[in-house]
Amino acid sequence: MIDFKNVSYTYPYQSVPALRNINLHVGRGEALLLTGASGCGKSTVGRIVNGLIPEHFAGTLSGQVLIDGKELRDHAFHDMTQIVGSLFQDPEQQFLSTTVNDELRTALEWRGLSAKEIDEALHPVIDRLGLRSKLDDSLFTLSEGEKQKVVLASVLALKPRVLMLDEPTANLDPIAVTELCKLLRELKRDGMTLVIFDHRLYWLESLVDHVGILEDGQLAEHGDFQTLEKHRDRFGLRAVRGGMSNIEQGISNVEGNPPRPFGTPPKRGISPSLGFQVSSISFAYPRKAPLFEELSLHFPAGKITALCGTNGCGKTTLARLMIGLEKPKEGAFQLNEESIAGRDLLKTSSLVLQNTELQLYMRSVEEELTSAARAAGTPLDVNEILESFQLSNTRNRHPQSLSGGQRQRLVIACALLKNPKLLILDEPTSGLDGRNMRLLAGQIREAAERGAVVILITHDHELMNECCDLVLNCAITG
Amino acid sequence: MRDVSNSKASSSWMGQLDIRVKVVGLFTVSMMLIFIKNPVALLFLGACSSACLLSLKKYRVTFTIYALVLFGWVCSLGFSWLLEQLVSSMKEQSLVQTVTPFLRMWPLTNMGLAVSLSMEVGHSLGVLKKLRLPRIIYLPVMVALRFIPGFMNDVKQLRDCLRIRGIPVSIPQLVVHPLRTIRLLFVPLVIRALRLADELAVAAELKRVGYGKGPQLGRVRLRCNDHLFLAGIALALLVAWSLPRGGSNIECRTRNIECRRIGEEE
Amino acid sequence: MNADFVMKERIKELLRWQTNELILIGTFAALIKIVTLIISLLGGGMNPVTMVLKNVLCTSMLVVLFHKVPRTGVLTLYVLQQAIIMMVLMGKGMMFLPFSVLTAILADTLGLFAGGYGKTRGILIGIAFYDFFSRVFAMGFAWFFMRENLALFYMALGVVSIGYLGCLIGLGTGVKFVKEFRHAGIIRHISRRP
Repeated sequence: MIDFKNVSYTYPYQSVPALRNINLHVGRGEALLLTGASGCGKSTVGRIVNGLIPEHFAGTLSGQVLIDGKELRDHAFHDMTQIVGSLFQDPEQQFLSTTVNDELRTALEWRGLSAKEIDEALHPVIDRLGLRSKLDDSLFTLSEGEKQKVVLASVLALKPRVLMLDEPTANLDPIAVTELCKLLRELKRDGMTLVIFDHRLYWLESLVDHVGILEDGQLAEHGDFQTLEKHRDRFGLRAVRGGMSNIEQGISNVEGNPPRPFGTPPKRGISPSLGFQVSSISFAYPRKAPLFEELSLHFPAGKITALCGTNGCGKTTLARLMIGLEKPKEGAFQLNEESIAGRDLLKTSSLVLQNTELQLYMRSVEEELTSAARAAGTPLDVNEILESFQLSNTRNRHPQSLSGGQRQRLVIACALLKNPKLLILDEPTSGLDGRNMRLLAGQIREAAERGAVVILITHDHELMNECCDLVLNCAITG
Repeated sequence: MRDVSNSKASSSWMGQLDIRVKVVGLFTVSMMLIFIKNPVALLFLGACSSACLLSLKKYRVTFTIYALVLFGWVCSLGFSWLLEQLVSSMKEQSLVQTVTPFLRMWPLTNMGLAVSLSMEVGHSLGVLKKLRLPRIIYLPVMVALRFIPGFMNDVKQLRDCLRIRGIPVSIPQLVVHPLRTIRLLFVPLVIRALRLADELAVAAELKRVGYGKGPQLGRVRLRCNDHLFLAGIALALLVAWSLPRGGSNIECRTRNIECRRIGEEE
Repeated sequence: MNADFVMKERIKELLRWQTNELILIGTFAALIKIVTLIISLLGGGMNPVTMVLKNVLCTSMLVVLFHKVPRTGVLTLYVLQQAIIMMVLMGKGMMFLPFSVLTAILADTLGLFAGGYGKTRGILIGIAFYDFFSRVFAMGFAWFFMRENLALFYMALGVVSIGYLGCLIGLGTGVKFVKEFRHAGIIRHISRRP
């Protein structure tokens, strides 16, 4: 179905090739996983598979690419979109409409199909993915898993023979990952060829037939799923299996059991009574049902607590309340046994959001750090902080030109410059490779060891295993 | 089997009207208002359009917007009063002269509100399709409508991020550090827009959106309600045009001022 | 015959827009609409500081957009879109549409004669012309609506003039940010015709 013979590619304005001499073969109905550190060339392979290279991205492509037995160059680009369907990390960035129904119809309408033909193409896919009750819903009110199903439905309605998935699990909770895995297995059984690019590996063992590890644009290793285990440390990959058992623990805990230890709590010399105390808080958004009623929690200082649970259960709202961005209707907060509220909460805490673009403002990395230190009123040793976050070679670069992992580290560095007593990070490792994830986990652990209360809002069980002391599962009740 | 054809129509009678009819109606009323000087006629049109707006039964949002508009008008009146005190030739102004521009804006505000409140933003794509715009306009408008809710959220998130970082963004800050404040708002939002546009362009290319002739639409005929709405507007405008100028006292006072002004000029 | 052919080709090229160009224009139209709306709501419509700020941001964003899509006609498309969005979301703006489009076409033409949007000079002239003359037309309409109460008209004129000051500042800040984005590799220097 897909054949790469000595394929090399260089992006425009770049001197170094993004891919060098890649040889690959994926047969009809097979599933291939390509992984590797960030920037290794995975996405570039994907762009060749779905025809975006050379149609959308110019540059120099050499070697032979055969898709469905025909040279890539001989396929008209729009025929290619009927052979290969693509699903990306963030489904929201693939939406062209505002409601589920409009989104599902858009691609078919632009192909010139009549309303009847569109209905005929959509009905089976809508039923298969269980979207019938959601048709009139706004896309922005759906959970991440549902959003992904909408994208998948709009792709499947075009009846592609190959499905290309680029980091499909980065934003999904464990239940949604399990559902996606089940669906992909069914599609594969029906003869669909799958090409998956992902850092998270634990969910793929039962799905993929071949595995390729890319390094600096070259296919460094190729084999079966066991290959990943053998070369995990060498390529800085994420865990191959461990996460799956943790996911099961996570699912069983969603029903609202009390928080319980997860992993081995490290020994620290900080009094257990110190920390952030949430006392009987109640909160509701205007004209909405109450989200919290009489909620009481304790987050110990010097420890890292993972806050997880399904989308919409109030994790982010709880974080916003704790750092003073929202005001509870009732209840109070205590930080290290002293009452704290309003502006004082904002002064002593930091929240790092998933969207790094909105958290970087200056012209260079150095200026960004200086500005953050000035706002926090703390002294700054730029060299030391750049080194500890492995950003030394980016000192004069524009923060917005950094890679995703580098931007994430810079945002966390800026947050830590505030010396927060309460640090909350929202999905800090989404889309990060194993090496970057472990680097970040180290930085977070150091912040906790300095006595801060650290809370991670995350679905990433590998990160939890790496650094968390406690897990708190949120559930929607009543 | 349930029909999955496009967008549920809004339940109000105006929501069921064809968008083209609403656009034509709104345009006609706005152009005619330029020529109507009679305050009674303007009052009549204001009352008709208010009835039209209130029939949508969206009282809360209507009165909130009305309160905002009224606040703006009161401010404008305040400023214009101040200007009248400073410029002597503007002092001799009757109540009718002062109020007429607002009477003229009243039906326009009502009609605009009625059109926007009768459309659901979430279903605006269906509205756009009915407008039968060419691809080069339809596609970017579709994208813009899709991004508006997301960008509202981004602006809120940016404000939160700046508060968390301890960077104040306020009007005094803008006066003291204008460039810095503009940068804090401008850079993250523009970068976000550029990245989103790149990603969406890729998604659109892969769905073949934006190529070919675009959505094939059957002929959409105007319905009885659409014709009635247009006829209603025409009738209201006709009645307004033929209404006599009411209130002899007001008339006289206005004329006196006009005469005096002419006399002064002579 | 040859000149005719060349002219036809130029017109065809003018009407041939790539999906990514159209999407970028749509994205910026949404962003500009939201930013100006939120600033007006937060700072108040009559506040001179917010009036200047929203125009600075709006014009700066237009300068960035023109550097990303340096094609004649981009302003006309943008103006058409803004009018339709205003109409769909707020039920207003249709009255000005013919005049706004006419001004945008003139501005695009002027930009073309000033070297095209491939050059910063062409972009600045095009936007400055549009910002000025669209306000002149708006004030023309304002006069029709407020002619009985000239004090109100002069007040509107003052408000619009302060806003235009923001546009002029926005041209400068826009160029400054474009330089920064070029340095960051976010905007590439591509000069294309027409």
